[in-house]
Amino acid sequence: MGYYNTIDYITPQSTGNATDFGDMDNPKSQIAACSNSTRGVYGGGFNTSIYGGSAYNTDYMGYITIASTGNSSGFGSLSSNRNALKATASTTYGYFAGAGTTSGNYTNAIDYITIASTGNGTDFGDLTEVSFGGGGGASSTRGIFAQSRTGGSLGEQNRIEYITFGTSGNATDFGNLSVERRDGGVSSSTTLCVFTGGISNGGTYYNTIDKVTIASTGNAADFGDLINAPHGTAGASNGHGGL
Amino acid sequence: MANKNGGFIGTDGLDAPDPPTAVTPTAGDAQVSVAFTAPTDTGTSAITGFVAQVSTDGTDYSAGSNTGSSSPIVVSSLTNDTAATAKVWAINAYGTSAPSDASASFTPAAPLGIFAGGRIDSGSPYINVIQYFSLGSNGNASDFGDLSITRAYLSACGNSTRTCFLGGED
Repeated sequence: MGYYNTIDYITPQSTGNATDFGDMDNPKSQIAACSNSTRGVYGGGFNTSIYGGSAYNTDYMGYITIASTGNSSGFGSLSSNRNALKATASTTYGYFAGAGTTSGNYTNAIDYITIASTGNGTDFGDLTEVSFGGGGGASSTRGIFAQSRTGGSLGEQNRIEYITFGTSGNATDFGNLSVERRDGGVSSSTTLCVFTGGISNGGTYYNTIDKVTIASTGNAADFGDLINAPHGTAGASNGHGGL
Repeated sequence: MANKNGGFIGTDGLDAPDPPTAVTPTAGDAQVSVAFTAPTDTGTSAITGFVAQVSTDGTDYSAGSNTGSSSPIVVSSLTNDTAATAKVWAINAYGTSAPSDASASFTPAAPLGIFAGGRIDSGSPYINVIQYFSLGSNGNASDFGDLSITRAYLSACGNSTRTCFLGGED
């Protein structure tokens, strides 16, 4: 029982179990991570010391060089301490959005970083409303966020929203998930974004896979089913818009 | 050497470059990135560009083509899930080289959506399952393997060849 600083990895081209990659700076949960073709950057989360102690929100960002196994290195700081944030990336920039904050409230802030150079997060704009949880996907020009829980009512959120890479500004409503839920996984190709699993406030778990075409706006359509119905799952792809 | 036996000879009789070597494909979604080593013997004049072409039968290299000034060259609009090979030609002002040796076989494919860990119920909550599906067409997920540690609320990132799973709790 506890938090992990574990980093493990798979090679998408061949099925099999994950292999040890290295360690993050500290054991932590509910971080967000994004990547371009060479570097993965993670930030925020509930952080604990490797020596134990209570968890606390952090603004810490670290990075890994994806091609070479090893421990993470320091990258910089988000604009505030936060957990349960979501992230996406273009080939140049990483974006960290929404979160629970140290004060127990929630934020709609979107920070961005330049992935290739270490440094602190800079204000990009705001999500359409405060939220936490969920994840992100991307084409080469547009970042998608969904599967969040709204901060105002703490209800599920079926909203899908997007940002346009390279131009600072607020997120725009994209459409709705097929089922209102939160804390599922998000993944994308350069053209398609999928939303998997999740849980309702009433405790219903979903094995749903929804999809949207990133270049257009609109509601999500059925794609298929997961083999189980998880929430708190991590999503990725080997062909997203940040590559 | 790029002499009159080393490549296709331009119409004016001057030498074309030697062919590129070490042609290495990296398959993507309906595309391939073709890396190669430029010839050291460029012929009578400097190399002006390269052509990469793709074949699905090892004979007819017309399944896809693109030009570039250096390695790698990306050839797009290929058919996913169809095995292919690539060759590269070097070009100078006087002509086109002989083709390179064919690359190793590659198969373009739609990227995978990959999902790992999570909680599947409130009583026995945490799982180590990694599941995946092709993002190219609708369908259900399949089992990929297991995380090294059962956990939820982890995060993931990666590139075309490696997906990493970071942190989490149980």
